[in-house]
Amino acid sequence: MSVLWLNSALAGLLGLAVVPLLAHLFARAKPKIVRFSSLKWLREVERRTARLQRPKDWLLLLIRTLAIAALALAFLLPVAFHGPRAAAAGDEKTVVLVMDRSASMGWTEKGQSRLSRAAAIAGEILATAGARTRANVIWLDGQPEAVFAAPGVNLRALEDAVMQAQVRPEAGDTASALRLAVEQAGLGQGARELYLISDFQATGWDGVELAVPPNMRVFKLKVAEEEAGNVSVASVTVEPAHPVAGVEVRVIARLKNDSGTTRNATAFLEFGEARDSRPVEIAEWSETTVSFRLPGAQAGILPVSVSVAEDEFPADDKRSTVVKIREALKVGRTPEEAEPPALWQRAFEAFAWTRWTGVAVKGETDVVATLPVRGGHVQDAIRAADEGTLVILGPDAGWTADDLDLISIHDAEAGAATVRQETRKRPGEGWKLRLADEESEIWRVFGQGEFGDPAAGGFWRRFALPKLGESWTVLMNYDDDVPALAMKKQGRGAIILWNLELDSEHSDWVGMGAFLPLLGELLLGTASAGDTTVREFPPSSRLRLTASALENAAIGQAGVDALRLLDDDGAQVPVEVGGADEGWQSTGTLGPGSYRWMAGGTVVERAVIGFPASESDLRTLDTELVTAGETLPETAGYALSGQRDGLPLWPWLLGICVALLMAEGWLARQPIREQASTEGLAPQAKATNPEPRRMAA
Amino acid sequence: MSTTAHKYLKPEDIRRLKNYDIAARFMVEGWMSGRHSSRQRGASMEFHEYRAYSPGDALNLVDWRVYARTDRHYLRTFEQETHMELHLVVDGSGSMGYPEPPAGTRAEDAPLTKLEYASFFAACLAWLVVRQNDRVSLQIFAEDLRASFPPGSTRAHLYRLLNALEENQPGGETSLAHSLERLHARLGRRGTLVILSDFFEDPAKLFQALNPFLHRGFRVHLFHVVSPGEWDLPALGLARLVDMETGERLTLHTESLREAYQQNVRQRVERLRALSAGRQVDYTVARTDRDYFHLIDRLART
Repeated sequence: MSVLWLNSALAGLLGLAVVPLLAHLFARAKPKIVRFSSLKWLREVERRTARLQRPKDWLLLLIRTLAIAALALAFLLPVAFHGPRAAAAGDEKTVVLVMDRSASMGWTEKGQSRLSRAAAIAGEILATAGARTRANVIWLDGQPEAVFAAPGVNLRALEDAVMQAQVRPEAGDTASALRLAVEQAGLGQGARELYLISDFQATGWDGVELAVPPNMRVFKLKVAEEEAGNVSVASVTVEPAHPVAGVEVRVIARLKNDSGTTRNATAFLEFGEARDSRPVEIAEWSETTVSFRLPGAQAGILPVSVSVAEDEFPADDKRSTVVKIREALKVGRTPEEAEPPALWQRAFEAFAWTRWTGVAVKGETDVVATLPVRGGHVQDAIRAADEGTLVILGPDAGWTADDLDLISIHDAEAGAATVRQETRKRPGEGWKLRLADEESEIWRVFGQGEFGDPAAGGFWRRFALPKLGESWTVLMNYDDDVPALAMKKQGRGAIILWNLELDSEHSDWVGMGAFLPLLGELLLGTASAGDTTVREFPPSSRLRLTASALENAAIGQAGVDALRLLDDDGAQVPVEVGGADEGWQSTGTLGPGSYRWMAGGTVVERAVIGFPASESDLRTLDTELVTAGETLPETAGYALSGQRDGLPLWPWLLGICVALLMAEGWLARQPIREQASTEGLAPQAKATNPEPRRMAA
Repeated sequence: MSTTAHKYLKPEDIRRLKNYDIAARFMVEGWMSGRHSSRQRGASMEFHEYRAYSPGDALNLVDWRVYARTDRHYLRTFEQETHMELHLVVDGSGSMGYPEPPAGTRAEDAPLTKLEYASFFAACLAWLVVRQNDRVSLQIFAEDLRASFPPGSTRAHLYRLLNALEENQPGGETSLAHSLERLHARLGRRGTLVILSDFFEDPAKLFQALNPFLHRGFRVHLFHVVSPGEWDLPALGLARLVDMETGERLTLHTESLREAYQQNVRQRVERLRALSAGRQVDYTVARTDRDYFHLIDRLART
């Protein structure tokens, strides 16, 4: 803090501070003389109180000196500046305000949201900026943008924009906003001032580097006061991811406690018409998982949401998703291939929720199971997976190097890779299996041993495959590391590489009992089954509907003309034609929730936008950790006028002077209490009570 | 008695005093016959009783007519009539000149000094006693007896006392104990001792000096003359106080010591009161801002 003395010519007044000392000395030297009857009794009192009188005199002298000094200083008109002076109100300058309106600004402190406080500060800055000021406001949200293309003189419009600002349910892109703000400030003239008005949420500001030109002043105004505690629903997942009617479904929610105290909460589930709740205790700065088990539901598209009781930050108290429960998984084969083994077909028919359909139909079949896929047809399998189908393919000795490349199977050491079938003679020892990825969810059901051991049994025939690419997740290997079962994501679907012999002549693995449970888990866990109706979008996204999705929906031109985007509550969201493939998109970014594209009465596609998890952690950063600028107190008007015109200190000094004089008056009136003395005052006690002396002896 | 023009005996005071009659108990008998009957038997016109003769009795008291009728010796005894003897002891030390009137103050507007107050009171008492044909003496002391007037009951004696009071000026240090020792030797008969002083004296020494009077049967009245300024200590701020007796100086801030001083004064008064009560001495605080007639009222009720 620096102090400017506006009236420094009167510095000589400080000499008045010695007046009390001089008065003290002279008054003692020449006090008024009063004749008094006898000083005998006064001397007694004075002798007894002298020890206390002197400190009191010195204290009075000090108070009087300070009071006079404060009064003299007040005449010098001191003005305090918190840090270096800002451009005065009358100077030509460019002011750029970065105003945070990310989700965390919705936190309410003392009955007022952080955004409201930020708006008040921004309004104050703009209102007091001065006539020769150009200004602009940069919104700090998911997609930072400026209100004006360049700093303008219409500060009133900026004030209105600031006052009407709404919290966006998005994480702020701090770096982009600051970059844009510096650019905007560079476009202006005169002194340049950059104001950062934010809660300085740690997740958004930590590590942000602010490169500011030397001629630009940066002021940081933090609008967060309290340590904000928050409980949020961090995620909601459904297992299996693509359930089938009649199969038990688990809804798993992650609840997060972003506070320094253990919190008790109740998680509420809404799953279609079903309701459930669970009390949970979440330790400080940690998260817990709540699992709801639901009996098999009927086929259909059901909204799922998990919520906790509302707290001071309700934006993240509820998280939704949509799950499509299919009637059954339709399993077929590619038309080019022969019928798979009868056992394979019987296996699919053994599940109540699968149906063998024979030749697969594009857009209808959920799983294509082809054992083996002959050389040259791998491309067809991959295309089906790209479109969202789960493809179970068996290797074939006729696979070419191109086929292997297509599905990322290669042998980097041997160069061109090949697939060959190997056999061993029975009853000699066959190849054994071992689990490669024991943490995989696939094996969870086998944990208790109830469904057998998937690695039990031996194989006397198999395909020797080269090393699989990194995109593959190997689930089981043979004991010589040849992959036996692996899977990979492919487009919107997945591929399972099935190198497990089912023929009982060459394997006793099927007879060990783990075959069917393993197949069931693989189907339920990985079959996205070409689900094109529910799409997840990241926070602060524009929702898009591709033209191909409209084609697949086969809704005709009339349906396209009536295309609407509706939110959770059925309210229509504005859309426009656009996007990469001339599809449709929402005109702006949307908040968390579930949305659906409707063409007439048909749901073309469902979309879900989640709340940005980073915004749930409301901890804020010390503004000094932001690399540039000076921190101002939140009381913006006070602070800014202090920066521009300085804070006049004379009223404070005057107040101090008055307070000191009042203290002096009070202290001077305080009598000196006589110390306990019996000198000449208690004759009876002295004469008749020798007890104390006797006791002392 | 006619009205006088003495400073300390104002005509209006005399008019008020005429309504007073000092009670006998206030005074102690003197030796001359007067209007107050005494339990001591002696020579007077009032017959008291007969009593049987004892060897050694004066023969002139034997009633021979009774002897003639009864053949027994009886003595006629008469009540002895005495008069009161009041000894006024007035402190004339320098401290009794307090408070000094501020410079430029007219005499009639100035507050009474303690000495003036004591003199007014003493004059009234003297007038009362003489009016009753009793005897009054006056002793003025400071460090020693400054003036001493033996008991008398005439008007001329009264005027002498009044003149002495008028001529008395405050000065010197207080030494009441020493003065009382000197006085004790001079007073032949017992009587009533009225001491008017500010008692800047060690109480123990004072009562030590009073003991001989008390043993001789003197009735002692102590009037502690106090000015309001002494009682409360005036708010003078920082001041240099000069002792009116010794000329000593003390610089202090009166406000800071005021409470302690008041406490000290009251404790001293309480001590004097306690010592007096223990010796059956009458003790009264006489504030100069109160009419001295309340003191006379008090004596009249005694």
